[in-house]
Amino acid sequence: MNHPVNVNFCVFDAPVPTKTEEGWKIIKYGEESVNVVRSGFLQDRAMVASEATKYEIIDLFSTGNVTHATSGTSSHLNIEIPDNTWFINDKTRSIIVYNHRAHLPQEMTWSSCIHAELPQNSIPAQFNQAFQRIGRLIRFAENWDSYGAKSIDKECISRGVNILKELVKFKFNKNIKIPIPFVAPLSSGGIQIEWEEGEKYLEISINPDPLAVDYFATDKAKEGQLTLEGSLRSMSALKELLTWFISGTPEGLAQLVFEEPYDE
Amino acid sequence: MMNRRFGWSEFNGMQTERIFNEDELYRRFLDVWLKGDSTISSSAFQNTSNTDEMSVDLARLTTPEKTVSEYPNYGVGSFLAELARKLGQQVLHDPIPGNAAHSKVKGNKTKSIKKKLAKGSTVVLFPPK
Repeated sequence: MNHPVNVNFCVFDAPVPTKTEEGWKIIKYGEESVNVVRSGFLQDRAMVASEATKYEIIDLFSTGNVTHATSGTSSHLNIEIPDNTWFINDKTRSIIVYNHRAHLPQEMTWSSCIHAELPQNSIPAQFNQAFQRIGRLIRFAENWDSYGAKSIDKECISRGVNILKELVKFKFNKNIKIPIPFVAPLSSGGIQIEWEEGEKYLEISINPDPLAVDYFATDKAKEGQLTLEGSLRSMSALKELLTWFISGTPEGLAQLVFEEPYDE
Repeated sequence: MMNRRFGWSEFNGMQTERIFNEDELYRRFLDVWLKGDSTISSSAFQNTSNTDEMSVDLARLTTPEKTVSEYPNYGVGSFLAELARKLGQQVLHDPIPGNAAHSKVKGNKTKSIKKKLAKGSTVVLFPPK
């Protein structure tokens, strides 16, 4: 009898199937060592992908729940993937995510071992939504908007994920309340991250070819609408913008000056 | 008879109409552009790739339902031609086979312009969930 177990993620000591069927697959990712896996040490690496939905999933930065049940033998595995978001890894700069409940085939003979442990990081549930939205975008193929849009660029998604992750850290470190951003695809193949509250608006757009990150902020002052836009050259600049968004005034927006050199 | 819809002309065998400032324009949008407060993201107001034109439908020649009849996953936002013109855009009727209401909002869409188009739009048909 199978016993469902809730874990936050898992790593499989299993070879990549040589031929994948339509549907979900879980494959090992990263350095492989039987001893490592069996001893319970995890590299925080696991990978979930779907041929059917073209996820190229990658790794975990963080959270997610997988309910799994083994058949009692090491060669059979059945996994249900719940609605929660999964997550990324800086090293790969690749993405994650799904928001659909999916089922692996009942019989998967290529998986020989499973191990799991609690995640090292957790993302606030509300931010999960933003991450989840970004993750969805990887499935947007050419002409996804019916107006001739380009497919969403993976580098843009990775950059967007990294920005959100930095914001999560910023939120924790400074103990400030960062509003949850709205994430949207751009027909250029980029993504847009935006915050809006009343007259205040802050937008970060990440565009491909070449990769460029721009900001646009606007607020209503006594004298009229104030706007500030330009190339976002550093995370510290974004943090300043966010600090303005959270607690600044229209005049404060006008006084923002960014002189930092570009960083990742 | 001449009426306020004067200004008919022919283009590629299709009749084009003058678009007035008070005319409403319909823009299709996906649910990924619909924000939690039921407003539309500025990212929905982009020019078609490699062009300086954004497709819309002239509302008086169509319905929101017709606008998405071939696009079941879309909703429809509406804004006035006047708004686009105030933002320096040209608004032109551009009928195409199968869509006599097709029009275009022509001009560079800066972030500020896209945001203003978004802010001046209302959802007239929500995309299916």
